[in-house]
This record gives sequence, C-alpha cells and structure tokens, in this order.
Amino acid sequence: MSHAAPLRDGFALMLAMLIVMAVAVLSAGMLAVAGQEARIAAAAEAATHARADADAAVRRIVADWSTRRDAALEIGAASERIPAPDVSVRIERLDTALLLVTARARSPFGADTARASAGALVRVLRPGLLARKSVSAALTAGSRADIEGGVVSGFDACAAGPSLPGLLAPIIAWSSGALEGVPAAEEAAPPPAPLEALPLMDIADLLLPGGAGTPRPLIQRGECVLGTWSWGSLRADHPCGTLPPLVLVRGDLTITGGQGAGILIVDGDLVAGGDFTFHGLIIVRGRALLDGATVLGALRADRVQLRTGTIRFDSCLLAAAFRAPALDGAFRFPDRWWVPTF
Amino acid sequence: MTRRAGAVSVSELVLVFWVFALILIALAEFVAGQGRLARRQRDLVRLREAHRTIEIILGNELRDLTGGDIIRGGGEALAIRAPRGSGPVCAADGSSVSLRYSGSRRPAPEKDSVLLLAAGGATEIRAVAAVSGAACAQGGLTLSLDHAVALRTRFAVVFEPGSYHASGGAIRYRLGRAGRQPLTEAFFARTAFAPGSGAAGLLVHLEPHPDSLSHRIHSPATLPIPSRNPPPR
Repeated sequence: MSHAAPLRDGFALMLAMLIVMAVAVLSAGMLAVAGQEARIAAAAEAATHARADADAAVRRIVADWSTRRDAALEIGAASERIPAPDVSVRIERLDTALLLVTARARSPFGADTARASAGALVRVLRPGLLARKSVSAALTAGSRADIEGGVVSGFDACAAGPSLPGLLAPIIAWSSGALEGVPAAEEAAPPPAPLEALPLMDIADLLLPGGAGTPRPLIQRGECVLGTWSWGSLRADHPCGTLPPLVLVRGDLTITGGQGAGILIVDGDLVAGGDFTFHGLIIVRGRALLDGATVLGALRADRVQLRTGTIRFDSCLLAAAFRAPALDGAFRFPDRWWVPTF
Repeated sequence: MTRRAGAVSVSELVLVFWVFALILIALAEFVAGQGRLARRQRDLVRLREAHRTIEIILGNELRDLTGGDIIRGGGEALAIRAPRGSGPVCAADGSSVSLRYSGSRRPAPEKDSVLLLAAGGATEIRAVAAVSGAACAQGGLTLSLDHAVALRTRFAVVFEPGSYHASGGAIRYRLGRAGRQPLTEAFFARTAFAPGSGAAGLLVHLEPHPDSLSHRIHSPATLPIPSRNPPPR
C-alpha cells in the first residue's frame, strides 16, 4: 500500500519571500543613499583638505619670506616651489615691490582628485628707498627743535653719500652748539616718514614696554640675544652687530649710557644721556631730550631738545640699520590680501 | 462523529485567521515604518544638499572678496562683485589692459567689469567694453575698457555684478538685472543673511518649512560662510 504526499499549496512561504524581498529592496535603497552620502562626504573632505593645503602653502611662503633671498627675481619672472607633496607654489614678481603668490593643491579621494588654488598679493619693501624717504635731515623735528649745545651735522660721515640738512624743523630755537649740513638748518615742516606707516606692532623684531636702563649687547653661548636692554652692537663683526634689529618701545624710555644699533622707535618720550651711543635711526613720536648721547645715522622726533651730544648723518650706518630682519619680510597688500585664482 | 481527511475544524480556522491577521497588521506597520524612514532620509538628503549647495557656492564666491566687494549684505539680499577670472597684467595703455587670464569663463562685455589693482594699492573699476585675443607672451587676452585708466595696473580681477537672495523659501542668485534663479529647493520658511564676525564673513539663517520636511528635522540652522579678507565694513 502506498501513501501519497500531502498537498502543500499554502502561501506562507510566498508571503515570507515577499517580506524578505521588501526588506531587501528597502535595505538596498538605504545602503545606496548612505553610500552616496559617504562619497559626497569624502569629496567634501578632500576639497576641504586641498583648499586648506593651498591656503597653508601661501601663508607658509609669506611667513618665511626673505626679500633679500628673492631679490634676483625680475619683474614678470616667476619661481616655482614644491613645499609639500601635491602642493606647488608659484611666486611671480608683478612690480618692484609687488608679488603674486599662487598655490595649487590636490587631494586624492577614491579614484578622483580634489583640486584647489589660493592666491595672495604681497608687498615687499625696498630698504634703500625706505631709508632715503624716512630720513630728511640728520635731526628732524615735527613741531619744534631747541638746540642748546652739542653738534648736529648733515655731512655724511660715510664719505660716499651726499649730504643732508643738519636740522629740519618748522620752529628752530638755537642758543648754542654747532649746526652743519646742506643747509645747516632749514625751517620747514618735514615730510612724513613712510617707515611709520608700516604695521610696526606686527613686524618689530623687539617690542618693549618702556622704562629706564642701559642697553648693552648680550651674548649667550656665542650667539646674540635680543632682549629688553640688548639692541645690537656698534661693531659690525660682533654677533649682535650683523643684523641690527627694529625695536619698538610702547611708552616712555630713559637711557643712561650703553649702546644700540638698528632702528629704535619710541612711542612716547625719550631721554638719552650719559655716553649712550646709537648707530642707525631713532624715531620718537613724542619729545626727545638728548644730554650727552651720540647718534650716528639720524634722529627724528616730534619735539627735540639737544643739550649736549652729537647727531651726525651716516648713510652707511643707516643702510645697515634698514637691513633689519623686520623689514625683510612680506606685507599684506592694502585691503586686498587674498585674490581669486582659477 | 467522523472527520473527512483534509478537513479543518472551526477552531483551527479561527486560529489561522487570527495568525494571518496579526501577520498582516505587523507587515502593514513594518511597511509604514519603512515608508516614514525613507521619507525622513529623503528629507535629510534634500536638506543636506541645500546646505552643501549654499556652503560651496557662497563659500567660493565670498572666499576672496573684501568689504568693498560686498555692495549690500544682510537681510534678504547680498549684492556682490562675483569674481569670474583674474590674472597678472602684462601690458596696459590706458583704455585697455592685457592680462594672463584664467577664470571660470571668458569675460563677457555685456555684463562683466574689471577691478584693476596698482602696485601701491590703488584700485579702479571699469566696465569691459570688448575682449580680444592673446596679447601676453604666455597667452591671455586683452580687455578694452569703457573709460581710460591712469593707474599702473599690475593685477586685474574680472567680475560680474550679482546678488544672492533669501526669498520665496529658497536661496537664489540674480545675475545683473536678470531673474532670480533658485539654487536650492524652496522648502525654507525663513531665510536671511547676516554679517558674521571673525573668520565667518557671513551667516546664512535657514529655517525649514513645517509642511515641507519631516517634523523631526525642523530645527533652524545657521551656516557660517568664511571670508579671508577683511570683513565687510
């Protein structure tokens, strides 16, 4: 006797399969959306990386800028650098003091590559021109000069250079002392010094609060250390004499003896006495009182009182002072620093 | 009482009926849930896409602009000089400049202007009157200007006057006096531009409309659009 297999024609299996298929379709849809989002996120991340790399390359080039190093680049010429893999930088001189820095970066993601570029216009200084325009006489006063003694000379102590006026000020009160130069003294309002238009707070080699003391070159382990009272040396072969600093003093300054070199800018009053000797340019935004100090280079102040001491124009020491590291860097183009590049 | 082979009892039938009813209810709930999830996911994708579009387009437009390039910023409109190309100037004769041009498109005399930059920082803006072929040693083109310029131009930026609008539930772009073209879907109840601070040059406020998206993603968003040059004055 044989038994026939029972008939199994229910739809439970079909229903289960339909549910599984529906779940599979929905899951596949979700996976597709998630995958697409992941690809978009990867592309956005790569684009952000490329853009950040390009920006960073421009900033790094500008931060490490040395005008002396790139002085050979002629107008219209360009140099290329590769500061990092996948990043290239092009530096093009557009004018004597204007350069265009363009960085291009790429960031691979999957089989594709994101690309970005960044460009910035940077200005550089011409120290020789800046020195000539910032120094109008051996001693320049913006409002008044009182000469009670001492020596002011516009004859170039460095024989090669031309002579300047000894004293230039709108009001000159002379009672004693020697004035020399071409002419010895001139009563006129001095032109503004372009050096003062620079962002000195940002670029100064040394930023000081003011006070009273005696500056002297400080050497540690054979190297010059710039500090509150260490502003360079009078000797060019001294470790502190190779690159005289640009020092900005934000307050009143009283100096008794000692020495310094470079560019000293006092955002207040200056009293310099004793046997203080300075090589370079001193700019005082308030009143300068000199009693026994010697300045070889030039001095400029709003009001000047010279009791004793010497202020003598020296083009060579001024040229050395304008080699300050602070003036060797790059500056932002006014108002428009980044420019669109494509 | 005997039962025929293959027959089912009433109690078995009721039980099967209830089991099927439960399965159908669960299935309906599952499908509805999946539908809600799919709608929410779709809305999130749309919202993210709108945010991305705004961030990418406005980010690229505003990235290198200065305060002077933003003619009107804030509220419902943002009128800017939208850069479309730039290049170092290799020659200039007063009424025309030749530059080594690179850009997203070729300058168009009917709508473009050019910002001319001198080495000292001075700038002038002129309308582009005509565009002609290569002039510089490394290619480029010459732009004829509507008025002569006395600057010693060293760099030039070609731009079109454009404005972004937060209106009609979407962010839109208007080229010159043309119509406003939507950049995003129109599902925002409130949109506005506001000046940012620090690195964020501009803030874009976006508030989705309650009827346009799933109720759980209605929270308003503020997108910071960075700008690297000085902020708008």
